[in-house]
Amino acid sequence: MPDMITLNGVTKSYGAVRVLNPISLGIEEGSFTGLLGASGCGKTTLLNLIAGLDTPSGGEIRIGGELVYSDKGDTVVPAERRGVGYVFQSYALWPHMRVLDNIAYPLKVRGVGRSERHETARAMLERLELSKLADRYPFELSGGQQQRVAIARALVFQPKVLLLDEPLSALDVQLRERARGWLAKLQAELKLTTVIVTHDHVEALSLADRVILLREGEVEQDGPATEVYESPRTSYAADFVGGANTFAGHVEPVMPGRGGVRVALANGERLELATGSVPAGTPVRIAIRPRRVQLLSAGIEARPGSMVVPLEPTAKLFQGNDWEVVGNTALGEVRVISPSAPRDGAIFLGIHPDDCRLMLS
Amino acid sequence: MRIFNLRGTTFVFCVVLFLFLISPVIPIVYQAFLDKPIYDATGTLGLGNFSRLLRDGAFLEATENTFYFAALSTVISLALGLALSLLFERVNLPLRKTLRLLFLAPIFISPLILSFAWSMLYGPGGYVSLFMRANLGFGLPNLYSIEGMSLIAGLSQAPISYLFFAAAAANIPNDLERSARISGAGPLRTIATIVIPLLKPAILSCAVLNFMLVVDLLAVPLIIGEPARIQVLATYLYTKGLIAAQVDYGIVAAAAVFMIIVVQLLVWVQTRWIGDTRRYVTVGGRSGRSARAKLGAMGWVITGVIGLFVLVTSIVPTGFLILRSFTSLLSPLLPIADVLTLANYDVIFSREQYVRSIWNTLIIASVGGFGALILTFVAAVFAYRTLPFARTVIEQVSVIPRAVPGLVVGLGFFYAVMLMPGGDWLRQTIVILMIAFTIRYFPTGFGALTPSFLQIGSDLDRAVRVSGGSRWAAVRDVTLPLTKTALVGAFMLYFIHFFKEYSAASFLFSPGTEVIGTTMLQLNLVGHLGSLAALAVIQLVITVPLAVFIYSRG
Repeated sequence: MPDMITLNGVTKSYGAVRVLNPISLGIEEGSFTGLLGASGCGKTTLLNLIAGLDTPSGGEIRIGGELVYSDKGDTVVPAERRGVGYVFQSYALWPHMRVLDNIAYPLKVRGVGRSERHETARAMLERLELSKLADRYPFELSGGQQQRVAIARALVFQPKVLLLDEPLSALDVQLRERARGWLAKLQAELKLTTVIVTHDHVEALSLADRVILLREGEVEQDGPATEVYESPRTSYAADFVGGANTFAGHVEPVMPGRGGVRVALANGERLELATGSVPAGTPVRIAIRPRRVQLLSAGIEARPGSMVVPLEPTAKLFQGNDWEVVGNTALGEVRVISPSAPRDGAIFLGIHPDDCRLMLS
Repeated sequence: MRIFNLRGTTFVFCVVLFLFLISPVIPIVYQAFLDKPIYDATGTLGLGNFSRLLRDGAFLEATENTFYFAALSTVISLALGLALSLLFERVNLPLRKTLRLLFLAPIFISPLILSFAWSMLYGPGGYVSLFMRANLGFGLPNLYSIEGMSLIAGLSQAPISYLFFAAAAANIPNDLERSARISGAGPLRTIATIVIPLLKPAILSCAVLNFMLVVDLLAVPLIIGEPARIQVLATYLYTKGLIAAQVDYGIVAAAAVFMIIVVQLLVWVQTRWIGDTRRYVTVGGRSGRSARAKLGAMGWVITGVIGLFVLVTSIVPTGFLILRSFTSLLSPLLPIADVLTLANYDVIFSREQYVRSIWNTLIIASVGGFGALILTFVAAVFAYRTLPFARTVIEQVSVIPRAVPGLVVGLGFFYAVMLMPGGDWLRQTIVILMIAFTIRYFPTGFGALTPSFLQIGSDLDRAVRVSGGSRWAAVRDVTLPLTKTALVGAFMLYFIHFFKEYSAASFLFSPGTEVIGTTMLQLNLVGHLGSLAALAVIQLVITVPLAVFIYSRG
């Protein structure tokens, strides 16, 4: 598939403050991309630059092959002529218009006649199961309904691209999970190029097939959702996407002929990872997901090949399905999520090399 | 691809708005340094006017009087405003809403009318003084003194202080007071230890605001001070620049520049204070309405006291003015039945110039008010819907006229039209008054519109853009309908202010362009108090219903 959106060296500064370092990437037609990052990382800015709600400080943007911004030759296609659907975090439904009028508005400004645009808007309402709400005003809708109306409005004029700015963050937890499923289904049906901005890694991982992690205006990692989760490239990525424990260490020489990497850790033990090749002496970090650390109390045995370290727990939190245990070890502070409750008595942790990822710190 | 250069257009608008709002000041500053009248091309620049001004005893005395008058008025206004804001907002008084509206009355009865009414009633030759002297053997303290002036000015300003404090008190989160109550403080102690300390910055900036308004006040010194030969800066400017047979342009302009500097300094002090207030800004907590303390019988006593106060300060004077308009002469020595007449209204409606002043006022208030509204709306759109720099610039520029006394706006415009091509034509139409009034009240109107622009998140506007609508479509389909209520409010504010305005008009009117305010001043000058009262009543009949509508909404 060709790229629907292309960014070429796009930057953004506000005065002396640079919020986006030059970013170049392509977004494939029909794909679902998640822009993930902490607040202030520039993800919403990037979305606004694509939509034309904000003007870049430099670079080039193409949508569907058409040049919509270029720092050379002063090309700036205004937002209204970019043909992108946009769902605001606040939904931005116009409070003085009925639901039907809100949805029909993009058609109205495109000169579509009254009866035709109402017909199209009604069809869209039906598709999103909102028909009953056509004559209501936005304030009469629940949060979930408002969100769907906002999406209907963004889709009604058959945009080339759908941009979503934290569309689920205003919903409560239960509703959010339902809306996530609904959104995934909708995108799969429409095959519309979609970009979602979110700070919630679960949202990004579950919805998007590609995740772009931004950090302080730069791309930290970019790849398929599973890859970003399974093989974070940096300890920041590991920690932001799903949380991770990281331990400092340095690489030791391995016997010639044996593959993998041998890392000496702070507690004096060595961990041998099966893959990778890093020169000896390099300082590295080992990352492991809290869920992959084995919680060992009386009667539970470690998986063969695990490194076992004693834990001094500082907090034991029951989370409903799981227990979260936090404590200190010779490697530093460790967080564990375990399906079984920690029993009384001494607690140990089992860390298996296969669950560990090596990153250059 | 760029069809419309937003940055350029916005920049041009900012510059034009700045020049428009500063336009009355420029000719004054120029004249102040010019040794000949501004229309005389042979003048040279120098500091002569200022040295003459500083040697003018009348000016020095007027300056001294101004500071005393403004300080005393401010104290009265603040004390009343603070006391009543605490009583109205924190105590559940019987008849609260009615009392509150009556207390606000001086806002819609202009200080000009209030001064007339007070002088007719409580002045040395006024009805009450004569009545007391005849029946009790002693009269009232002399109203025609700086203290008397301050009393009227303070009273007419008190509602402004009240609104200021009420707004500030509403911003104090309920939880702060409730936690004081839970900690064991009673309602009065809570007010004394929590509410008032948090209001400190509001008190200081309100004091500066009051001081500025009093420096700018012409009506009270003119009606109450002049008979006793007490001059302040406003009347100094008025008599030297307008009434005097031989107008000394240079010294008047120098005095006006001095006034601008005084007010400018006050504005500077105020903004400095506002800058400091951040440490008083309460963090978090919902600012729900505070529960009002119930006082039982004590509540009725307080209501009675406030009622009596309102009665004496505004209801009786206004009622007296109305009565006066239907009589040939009103004196405790004559029975009312003998003096009842409609002659005063006959005079007003039979003389062309009086009728014309009413029409002019109506046209200026409605047409001019609408023009001002359009400018204000456009300025707000540029400020809040275009580029970040526009917001900063327009917000700063929009308050410029606040630092220019109304008289100075009139004087400056008077000079400006002398220099302008076509100025003579402009001077003979009411357009010149509309422009001057627009400049004068722009900060008020802009301030009334701003909150609604800030309230409508810019997302609603941006949603139009991504839906395919242009900037213009966003303004037409979203901003305009959503700010409708605020626009109506701003228009009514302009209407009322334009209707009441007299000080900027006094330099600018000419035969054919009189307004009610200037006609009242002339009637006062020649002593036709009956017709004056009739005209005042006509003004009240037109403005009060509107004002009640605006202010009763709270």
